[in-house]
Amino acid sequence: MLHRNVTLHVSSGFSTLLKTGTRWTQVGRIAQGDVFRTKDQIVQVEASNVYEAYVVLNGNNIVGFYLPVERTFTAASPPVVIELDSQ
Amino acid sequence: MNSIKFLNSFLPATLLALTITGCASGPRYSALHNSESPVPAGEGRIYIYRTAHVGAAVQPKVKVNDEAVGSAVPGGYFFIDRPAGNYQISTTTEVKRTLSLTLDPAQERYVRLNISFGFFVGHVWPELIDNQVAEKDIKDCHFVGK
Repeated sequence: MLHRNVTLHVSSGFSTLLKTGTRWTQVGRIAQGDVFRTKDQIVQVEASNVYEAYVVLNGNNIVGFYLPVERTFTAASPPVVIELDSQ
Repeated sequence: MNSIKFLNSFLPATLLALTITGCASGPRYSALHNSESPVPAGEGRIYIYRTAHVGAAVQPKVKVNDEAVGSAVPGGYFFIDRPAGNYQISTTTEVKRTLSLTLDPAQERYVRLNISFGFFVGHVWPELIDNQVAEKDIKDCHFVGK
């Protein structure tokens, strides 16, 4: 569960807010880290188009997004450290 | 001078008529939603709606994986049922805007068509909306599907 709001930025200049209290489930793993998905909020990455996204975690760092339709990774700039628990 | 007077009285009425004729007029989501057919097994449902009346003359086709499924009618909504999988929803005016999303079995997703200013014409761009927010957003939209 996320204990605070987290704002992530991508290179396009847009930001994405991950809301406090959202619960996340690991759905896979890619080279950049573990991929997590939530049903508690919509996560989107916006650039010239809009992409539904999952979050990629490496250790305690959210390092970016996995775009499940495009099957590609886009980095958060900068990565954001979060507090983890296993609830 | 007379032509200016004529324009002053004619233009607002014309613009109003264009706005009204460009808007949706079917039953509202709030009246229709509970009687919609159930989602077929293994499929999910995508609601596509537009609340914005600004730029009412701009009503591009809405495509799902390049198949035209409806139009971006101001104040209108429609829905499509599709097998679980990955989808791209797009609209094209002077630019093409695309939203990528996943669809799970029995899942309902809501896509709002937003409008922003463009160089010559407005841009209509699809955005995935949280269900709780969307259900309030869409309730006064009129059904424009088949």
